[in-house]
Amino acid sequence: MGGDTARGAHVRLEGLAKSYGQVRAVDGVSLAVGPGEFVTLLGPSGSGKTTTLMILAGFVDPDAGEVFIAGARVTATPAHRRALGMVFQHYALFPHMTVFDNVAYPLRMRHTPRALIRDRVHAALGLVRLPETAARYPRQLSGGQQQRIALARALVYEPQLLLMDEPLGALDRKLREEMQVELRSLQQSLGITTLYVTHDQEEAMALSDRVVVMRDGHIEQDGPPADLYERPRTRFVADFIGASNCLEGKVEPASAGWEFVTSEGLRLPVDAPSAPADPRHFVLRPERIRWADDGPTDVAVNGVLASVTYLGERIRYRVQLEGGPTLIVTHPNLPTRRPIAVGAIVRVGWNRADATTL
Amino acid sequence: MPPPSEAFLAAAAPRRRRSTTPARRRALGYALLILPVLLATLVLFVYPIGQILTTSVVDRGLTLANYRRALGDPIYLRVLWITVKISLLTTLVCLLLGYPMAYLMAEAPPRVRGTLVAVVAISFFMSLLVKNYAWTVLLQETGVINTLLRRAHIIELPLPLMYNLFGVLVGMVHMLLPFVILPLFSVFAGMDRTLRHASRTLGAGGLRTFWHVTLPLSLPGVGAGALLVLIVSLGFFITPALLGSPREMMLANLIDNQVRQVINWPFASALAMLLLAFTLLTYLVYYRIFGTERLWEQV
Repeated sequence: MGGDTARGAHVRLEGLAKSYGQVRAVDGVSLAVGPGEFVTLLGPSGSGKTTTLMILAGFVDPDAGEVFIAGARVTATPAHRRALGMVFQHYALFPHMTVFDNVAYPLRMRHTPRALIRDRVHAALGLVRLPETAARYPRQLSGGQQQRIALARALVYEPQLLLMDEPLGALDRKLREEMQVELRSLQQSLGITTLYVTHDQEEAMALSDRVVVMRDGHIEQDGPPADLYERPRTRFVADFIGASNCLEGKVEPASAGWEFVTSEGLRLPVDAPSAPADPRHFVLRPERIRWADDGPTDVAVNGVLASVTYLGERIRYRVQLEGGPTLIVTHPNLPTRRPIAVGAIVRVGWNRADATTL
Repeated sequence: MPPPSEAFLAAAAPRRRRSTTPARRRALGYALLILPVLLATLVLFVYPIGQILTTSVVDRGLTLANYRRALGDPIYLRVLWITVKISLLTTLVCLLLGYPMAYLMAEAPPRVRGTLVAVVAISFFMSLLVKNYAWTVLLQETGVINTLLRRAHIIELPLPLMYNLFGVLVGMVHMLLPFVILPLFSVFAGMDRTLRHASRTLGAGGLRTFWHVTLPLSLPGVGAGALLVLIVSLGFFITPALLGSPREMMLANLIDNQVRQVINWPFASALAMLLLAFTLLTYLVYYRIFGTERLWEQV
C-alpha cells in the first residue's frame, strides 16, 4: 500500500440524467474530478447526490449521459468490473465473515495468491490502525471500528477511485470529527481519487478539495470550500453552507455607488452587483458583523439588542435594526467580551466586501 | 438508640408492602395471560398423548411388544422408510421451488410483491382436500393433462401421473410450499441490500455474490422452512391416501389402517408415539444446527 505514487483515476460524468416515474432524481449532471482529488457531493436528501454516486458505482443505469473512469467509458460496465472501492453508510460488512475474511474478500474475488492475501490484509488493517481485529466478527466491533474495517476492505486491492456514501453518518459527533481527520490524511497519503456524499456541510468543508452543492438533481455550485462560503452564487448555497443573514429587497444606484434597499426600506451600501443583473437578496455572514465602536467599518447601522444566546464556543446575538430587519451576529467567546444587556442600543457594522447580493 | 416510634412503624409498613406489590401483581398478570394456553395444552395435548402412551405400553402389565413389532417387522420398517423418504423429497422439492420464488418476492417492486404474496397466501389458505381433489382432476388417466397431451398426439397412452410417488409429491409440495416461501421471504426482505452492493463493488459478479453472501445469509430461513416442511410432511395422511397407492403408504396411513380396519389400538398408539418421537428428533437436529449456531444473526 505504497503512498509514494499518486494512483488516483480521472473521473468524468457527462450529462447524467435519471428519472424515477415523474421524479427527475438526476437532471443533467456533468462533473470532472482530477486524479487524487477529494470531491464531495453535498445536498439535502432528494438532491440527487446519492443517485449520482450509484450511477458512478454501476448500481443505477442512467437514462442519459456517460461515465468515464481513467479515460475509459464505463457507462455500460457492470459494477464488479469498475474496479472501484466503496464505503457505505452502514458499513455493509459481511456479518457471517470474520474481519480477515471481509478484508480478504476483494482479493479472493481477484484470485490473489493466498500468501499475498495474508500480507495485504494485514497491511490494510494496519493502515486503519486495527491490526488486532482480524479474527473477530463485525458485530464484535464498535461502529467506528466497523467503518474503518469497511475502509480497509475498500482500499486493500488498491483501487484508483474511492466512493463514500455518508460513511460517517452513523457515528457520533466526536468520533466523526476524529474519523474526518484520519480519512483526509489517509486519502492524501494514498493519493486516491475520492468521491464523497454527505448532507453535512461542515463535514464537506472539512474534508474536500472541492464541494459540489446539489439541489433537485442538478449542480447548484461547484468550487473549493472557501469559494462556496465566501462567494455563494445562489441563495440556496448561501443558506445551505453555513449560517447567513438573508434580507429581501432590491439594489438601486445611489449618489456614491450602489445601495441595497430592503423590503422595509432600509438602505445599505453595497458593491456593484455582479452575477445576477437584478439581485433580490442581501447575504451577510453573522461572524462578519462587528460592533461599530470596536473599529471603523464601511457600513454601520443602529439597532436594539433583541437577544443573547450563549453557545459555549461562541455567542449569538439578535439585533433588531432601525427600520425593520433583524440580523444574527455571532462572535467567538473571547475573554475580552463585554457583556451587553438585552434592550441596549447597539451599533453594528461590516465591510462592503463581506456582503453579497444575489 | 430508642425503639422506633409507632408513628415511624406505621409510616414504614405500608411503604414496604407497596414496594413488593407491583412486581407481584405483574407476575400474576403474566400468569393470567399464559393460563388459557396452558389449560388448552394440558387438556388437548398432554392428556391425550399420555393416554396414547399408556395404551401403547399397557397390556395386562407393562410391555414394549408393540414397539418391538413396529421396529422389527420389515413391512412396518418399510412404511417408516417411505415416510422419511417422501418427507425428505418433499422438503427438497419445496426448497428448490420456494427459494427462487421467495427471492423474487423480496426483490419485486411493492405492487408485484403484494400480488405474489396474495397468490402464496391464497394457496396457503385453500383447503387441503380441495387442492388434492383438484390435482386428481388434473392428473388422473382421463384427467386434464393426459387428455390434452393425447389430443395433441404427444403421447399414445396416458402417463401415470397419480396413484404413485409423483402424484403424492405434487400434492404435498403444493400444500407445503408456503412453509418454505414465507420464512425465506422474511429473511430476504430483511437482508441488507447494501451487502450485495458491497460484494459487487469488491469485484464479485452476480453468481459469486449469491454464493458468498446471499446464500450463507439465507441459511437460517432455509433451515426454518425445511424444518416446518419436514415436520408437517412426517404426519401427512390425506395426500398419500388420495394421490398415492399402497406403495406410498406413510406412517399416518398405517395408523389409520390399524385404528379403523385392523382395530389394533395399542399397536396404532405405538406407531403414533414413534411418529411423535421422529418429529421431536427432527426438531432436535434443527436446533443443534441452527439453534445454537448464532454466527450469522441478522444485522
